[in-house]
Amino acid sequence: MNEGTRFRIDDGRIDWVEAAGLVVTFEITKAFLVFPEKIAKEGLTAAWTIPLVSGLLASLFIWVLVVVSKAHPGMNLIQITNYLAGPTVGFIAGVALYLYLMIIIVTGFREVADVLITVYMPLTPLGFFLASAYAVVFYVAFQNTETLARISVLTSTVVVGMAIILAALSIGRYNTDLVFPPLGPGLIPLFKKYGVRQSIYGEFLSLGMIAAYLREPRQVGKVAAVSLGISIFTFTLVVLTCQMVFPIPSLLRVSAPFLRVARVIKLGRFFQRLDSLFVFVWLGVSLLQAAVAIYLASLVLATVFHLQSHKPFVVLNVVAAYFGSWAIPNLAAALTIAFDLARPYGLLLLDIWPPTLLVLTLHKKKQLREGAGGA
Amino acid sequence: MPLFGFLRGIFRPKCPAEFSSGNRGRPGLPGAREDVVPGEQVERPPFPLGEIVKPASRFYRSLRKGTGRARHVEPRNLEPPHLSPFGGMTPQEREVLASNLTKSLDENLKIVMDIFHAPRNADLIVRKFDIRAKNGTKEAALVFISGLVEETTIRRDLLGPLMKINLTKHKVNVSIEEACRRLVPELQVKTGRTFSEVVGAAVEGKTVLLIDGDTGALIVETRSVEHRSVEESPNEAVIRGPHAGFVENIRTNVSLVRQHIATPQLVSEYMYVGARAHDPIALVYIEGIVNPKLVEEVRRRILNVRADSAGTIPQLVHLIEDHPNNPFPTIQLTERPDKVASMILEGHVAVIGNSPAAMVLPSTLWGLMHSSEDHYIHFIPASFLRFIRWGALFATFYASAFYVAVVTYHPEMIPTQLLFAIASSREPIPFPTGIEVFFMEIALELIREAGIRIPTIIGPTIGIVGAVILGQAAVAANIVSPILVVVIAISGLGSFAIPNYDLVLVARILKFIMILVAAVLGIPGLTMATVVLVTNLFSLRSFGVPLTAPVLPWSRHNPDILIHGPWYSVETRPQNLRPLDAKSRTRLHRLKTPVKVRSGGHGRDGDLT
Repeated sequence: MNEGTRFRIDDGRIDWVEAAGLVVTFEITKAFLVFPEKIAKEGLTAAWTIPLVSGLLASLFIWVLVVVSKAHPGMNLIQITNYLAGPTVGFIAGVALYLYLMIIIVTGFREVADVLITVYMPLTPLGFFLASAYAVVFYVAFQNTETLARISVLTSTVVVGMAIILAALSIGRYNTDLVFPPLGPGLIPLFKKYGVRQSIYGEFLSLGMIAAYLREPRQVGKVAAVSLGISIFTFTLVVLTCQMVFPIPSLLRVSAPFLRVARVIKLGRFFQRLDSLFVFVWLGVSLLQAAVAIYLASLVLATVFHLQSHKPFVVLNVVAAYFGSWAIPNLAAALTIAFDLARPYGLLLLDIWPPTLLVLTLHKKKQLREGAGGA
Repeated sequence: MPLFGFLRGIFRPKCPAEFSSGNRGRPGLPGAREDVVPGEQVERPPFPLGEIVKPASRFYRSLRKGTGRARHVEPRNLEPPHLSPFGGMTPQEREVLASNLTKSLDENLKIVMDIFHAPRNADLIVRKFDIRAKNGTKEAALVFISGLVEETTIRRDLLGPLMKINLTKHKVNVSIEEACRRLVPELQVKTGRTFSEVVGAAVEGKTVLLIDGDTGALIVETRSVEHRSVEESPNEAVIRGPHAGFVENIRTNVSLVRQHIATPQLVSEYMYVGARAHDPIALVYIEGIVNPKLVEEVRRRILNVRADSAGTIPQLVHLIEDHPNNPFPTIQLTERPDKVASMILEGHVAVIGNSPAAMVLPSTLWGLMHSSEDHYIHFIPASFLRFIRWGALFATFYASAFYVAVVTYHPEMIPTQLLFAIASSREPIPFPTGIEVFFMEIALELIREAGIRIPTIIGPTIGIVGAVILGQAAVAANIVSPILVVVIAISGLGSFAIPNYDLVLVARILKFIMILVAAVLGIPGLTMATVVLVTNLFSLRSFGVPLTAPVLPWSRHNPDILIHGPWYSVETRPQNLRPLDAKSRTRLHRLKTPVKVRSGGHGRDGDLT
């Protein structure tokens, strides 16, 4: 008997599957454009190991984030920081996270727009395309957490499925020799890259914000494990596929290599260009990723300014992101900002913030215990 | 009988217990009370009892707390319930309505006729006659509205006995109580005391008996409204399964559902909507399965409809749905009693009225694509047909738009030979692809709309001839390409295969938006429109339940969403409805032990014993 259970599903609460979908969508979308090229440049023939090993390394910090979230159920990262370190530190942390998210949106979307305009819509003005795309992003980001999370489950499933299908369809073009020598640039440089490229998992900071909306706060660990597993798998699969289809010298010259993989697949005479279908999925997911980022950025501001709703900041952030995308002169600049500036330094957020909070949490608990003992 | 209990009978005539259940209905107006006769579920709208109770309870609390004299609070202006048929009346009229009947028949009739604006209002019939009794010949009158009552019943069961009987022989005084007890051989009767009850009964099609010298009224059920007989639903026809569809009569409609669910737990809760129109509707659900909070929510929304008339059930949908500004249907309408019965058994609530469509609450996106036919055929063909329907929905949304996007922006997607075929067929066409498709779609919509308005006999002919001739003529005149005619035909046929009419309408509108977006931004534009569309779908709720449930958010459900699973696997009710009883059947085991067979004797092996 269900007597007494709720009839209306609680507003603003999400299940662990939906939370995992949200994190995965936010995390893996970047894998499909210049990401394989960038990783290949650093790891050469061992490039595919970079997302794998750095993912395993990042899991340590993500675990710390999970522990902190579990210790403060129903609170997001900023609220936890406010609680443990005071509003000033909370404000600074909030602003840092906000800037990180905005840079991800701005550079990521500029990258998407540039590739699309160059490859598929050469006659369409960039400004018009960006305006149309940001209008969609605005509409999606204006929804509540539940809606965003549900679409994310759908899109993450579709995009991971699409990556697997593309990888499977290109098996005929695989050349296993291309992943040898297995250590690529050598062991020491490779280990340095493993450390720095944990930054590709920087989007996992979103987990600290989303955990507050979980219907079962204890399931944050499950969310982290599942989404990290899917992310590591997808990144590794994408890089490995690109590596086995294109030799490293070619791979370094191909922009958006995974898109090229879609182009070289031949499925008989009827499907001449499978990549057009891939673009359909990939653009949809990119739009959603931008919407999630705008939503999170708005949520950060709403938390910092103690507002009940993120919606007032959505307009502001969309306008800022639109002009930000314009401000970047070209695709190369966008990539430099994203991969060489924002992400490596953003890594500090992941590597320093949650561990600091963990220490403060333990300290606070000790204080409370002593206080209780003293009383 | 309690001490001095007999005095109650003197001051207030009352039907004996066997006639009246004593179940008090809620009063329709201040001061009004009524007895509800068993079998007739008359539910008056809620009366703001709290407005009266509050000052009294406050006074009581203040006494208990010893806070001294309670602040005297004047009860606020007691507005009549907005759902009563008197909602649109003036305060003076309401005051009259709230007052009790007088002893003078003439005075009572004058007031009733004034309220009905008779004799200007020719529908109100007042039939005066005499009843002979011990206390002399009494003047009496029957009041009813012509056209709403069954006149044979009035003649046979009211006028006949009352005019023929001679109570002087039996030494009986004539009164409403006596009439109720001995004179009127009708099943459903009740007594009334106020003008509001008399007037309310008359507008509902009942007949009111008034007797001179008596302050009561006898209200007799004589309703009879003309309506068509039960026929097959024209919009939801099936090959197998029941063919009966709802009609324009609430009693018939509820009985059609009851034929499918013969259980005392099937509750049909009657209520009225609309201050002036006073439309009857029934909430139908199964007690013990449905979540009480769902029933409460449905009831709350319906009772909160503040309008002169809620109209028919499809109109009521727009007043109670979660997203009235969103074109996507969030409430499912059906014309089939078997579908309603099946959904009620799952834990839904049905709202039935004087309308050939009933609404079932809450709805899901998947349910909108289900057809009754699915339940009457094998699950494999049923699943196949569902896929066809989903394909049809996508074809309606995307066929034309995809053609525009591919031809305009992405010709590299098309196989070379097909590309040449399209290019050669488009060579003499002077319009851009977007305009060409837009014109053809508009032409299709015109044919479709004209087909509905044209008289039934020639309608289908005009539709087919119009489509064929128009298509051929357009191709011959080099206005459209032949391939486009095929694309438009696929798109048009797709819309006919969608089982839910509200969804068809949305698809037809969105098709044009998709074409526009595809003409401007190609496949990226279609992607953007799809993201908005999907976001919109995921944000919708139907009575608190997400439209995409039970898939997202996930909850346990039968294999009856995108595909239809085998019947033996359909064991649970949809958990997104939070039914009180989650299992629809105990685990069904197919007979593993064979039926006993006869061995030896005259029978052969395998013969059933």
